[in-house]
Amino acid sequence: MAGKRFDFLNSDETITPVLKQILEYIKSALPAIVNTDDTLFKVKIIITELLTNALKHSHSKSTIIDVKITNKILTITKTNYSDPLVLIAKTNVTRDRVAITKDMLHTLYAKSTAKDQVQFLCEENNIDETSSINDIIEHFGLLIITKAADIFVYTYDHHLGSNTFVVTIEY
Amino acid sequence: MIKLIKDEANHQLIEITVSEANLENADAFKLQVIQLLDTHAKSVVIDLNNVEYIDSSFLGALVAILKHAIAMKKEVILINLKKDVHDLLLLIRLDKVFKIYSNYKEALTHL
Repeated sequence: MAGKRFDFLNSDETITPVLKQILEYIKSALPAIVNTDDTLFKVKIIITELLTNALKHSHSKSTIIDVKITNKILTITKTNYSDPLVLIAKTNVTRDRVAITKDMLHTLYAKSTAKDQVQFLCEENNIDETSSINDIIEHFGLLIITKAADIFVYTYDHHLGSNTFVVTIEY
Repeated sequence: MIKLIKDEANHQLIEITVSEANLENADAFKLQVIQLLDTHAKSVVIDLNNVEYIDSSFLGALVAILKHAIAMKKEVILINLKKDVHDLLLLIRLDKVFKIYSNYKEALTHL
């Protein structure tokens, strides 16, 4: 197993340098036979959105990105320390999935997988005569990560006060 | 951020001048294009040839521009998308709502 930790200082000018470092590392660590173009495209959009999300919503000064590569599985974990996502309060009281956003193209859900833990899931919606472009969401971050990842899970740890986003990609 | 390339009777061709279309420049881009729409009331063809990568914030800006244009009964057309940019739009199905063409010549046949 290969792995490496990257520290991201939450500022917009550091997104590109950190992203380049992570991509270089993954490129060098993936087995030579892997179709790296497809995997690196997914990694690039996922990490960009994880870092952008940290910048927009986290009140902490830094974010940790851990990358692990095992046999056919690439895991990206983002950790920061701030308040939990609001949706945790909803998903802790229901076993059903909760719709976070819905428009003519997609419905994005959070499904409780344990206390203080959700998995993000997405369904593509049928477009018909009732569909309206005016209803399309303008916030695509979680949707992009959910669709690019094979599994995308968020956990809040009350004891540590940590938010952890774990993205799994099969390559 | 944007450069006006052509000002035709029914549309304007603009080029995005940055290579990383992201959180840093999304709001400025949205304001500039909406200002163009409000001032000239013409459809807009956006050339993304210089854009190597686009993030969710910039995609949000593009959708906001599209909604604004539709309310004015105008069009927003995207041209010259790099593979990664096009793949990202396909991933989140924005190809279902934007008119996307390979180049300006092709876009002209639909204007």
